[in-house]
Amino acid sequence: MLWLFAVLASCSVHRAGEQAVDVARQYRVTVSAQFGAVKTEESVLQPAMETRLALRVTSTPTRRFRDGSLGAQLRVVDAELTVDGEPVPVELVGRTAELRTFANGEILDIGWIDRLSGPGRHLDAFEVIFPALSPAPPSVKVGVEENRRIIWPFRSGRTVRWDNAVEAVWKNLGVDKAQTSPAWELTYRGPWTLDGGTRFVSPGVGYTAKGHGEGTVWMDVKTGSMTLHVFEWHRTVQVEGKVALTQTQEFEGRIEVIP
Amino acid sequence: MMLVLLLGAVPLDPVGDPLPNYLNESQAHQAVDAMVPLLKSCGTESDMTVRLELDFSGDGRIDLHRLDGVSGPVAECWTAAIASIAGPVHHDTPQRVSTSIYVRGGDVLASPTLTVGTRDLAPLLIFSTPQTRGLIYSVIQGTEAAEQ
Repeated sequence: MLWLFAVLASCSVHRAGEQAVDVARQYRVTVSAQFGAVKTEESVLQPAMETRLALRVTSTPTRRFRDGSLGAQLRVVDAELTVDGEPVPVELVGRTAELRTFANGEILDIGWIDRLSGPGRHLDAFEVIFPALSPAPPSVKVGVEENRRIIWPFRSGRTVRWDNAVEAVWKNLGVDKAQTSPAWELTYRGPWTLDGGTRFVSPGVGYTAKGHGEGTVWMDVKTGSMTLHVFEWHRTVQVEGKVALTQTQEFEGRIEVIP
Repeated sequence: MMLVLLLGAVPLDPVGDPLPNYLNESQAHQAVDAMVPLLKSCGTESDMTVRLELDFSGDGRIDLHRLDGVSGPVAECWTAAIASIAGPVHHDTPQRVSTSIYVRGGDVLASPTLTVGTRDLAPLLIFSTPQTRGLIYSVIQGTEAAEQ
């Protein structure tokens, strides 16, 4: 009898997670990125390049998970990518990912991120966009500093996973009344690390990075939601399979809510 | 032992499963299965094996890419029948689905085997261009670019 209850109880979660929990938003995302040369110890495989990615992204609530975390579907509505000033095709328009966060914005998972990544899509290299959309600042008094990590995972099926963390120190600069509506202005800065690798594939590939992230987030005083985020993050990534490759990546970006 | 067997019967918690944003084989099967009654009405006089390649667009449209093994008016009827079916809405570029349909003894059967030609692109973390991508992957994998 007990096992029958256990089976039925676990089946009930099939319909548990489909509750809309917030309002839809639209963001303008612009990121200028300088990618250094792709190098091995012996040779240069790709020269350095300057890129600019401009996106319009909608965020629509999808469901509340059993643990209280929230799902929001991110859809790329417009996408433009330039490399060294020349527009290049990018396969992002219409694609979606599901951002799973705690109520404070802390990212637990990014479902379908693999469908926005890889050649021609590039959000694996530009993954900084996801924490920039959901930076999760702490509640902190004006003038006070507080530590809170900015974390997010990158998963592609069961074969690829890496985890990012910025050990951010946050500071509340007070209410900025120069914004369209009054907003708390919070700054953050801290070291950025990434660690991960492939599973069940040969040869295995390891992913590591070290760098730094800093930025300023404006949170609407009335709604508590982010209205603007400007950031400068940089890192040096290493991808090690049979041979180790490195690339420096410098991101300068701006995320703003479109009314 | 009994307890282990009972625990094995408990379904995994699927609450964290991703939303079905992208076309999967189950959805493609449903769409092909929905075609079968319409194809049957096109005639089943002679046995045949028809190879189908269909493009499933994100808006639910299904376009016939290839139809091998049937010709003439029957082929026209099949084309119209396939075009009349609405596929699943998904968030990807048009996905090529390959399968076979069998006409045997007055009946029409969809093959249980179906392939969704997803373009599965490995994430790399490194920003690369189409010109250098093959070289970068081949160096990481320790292979020649042509082996990728």
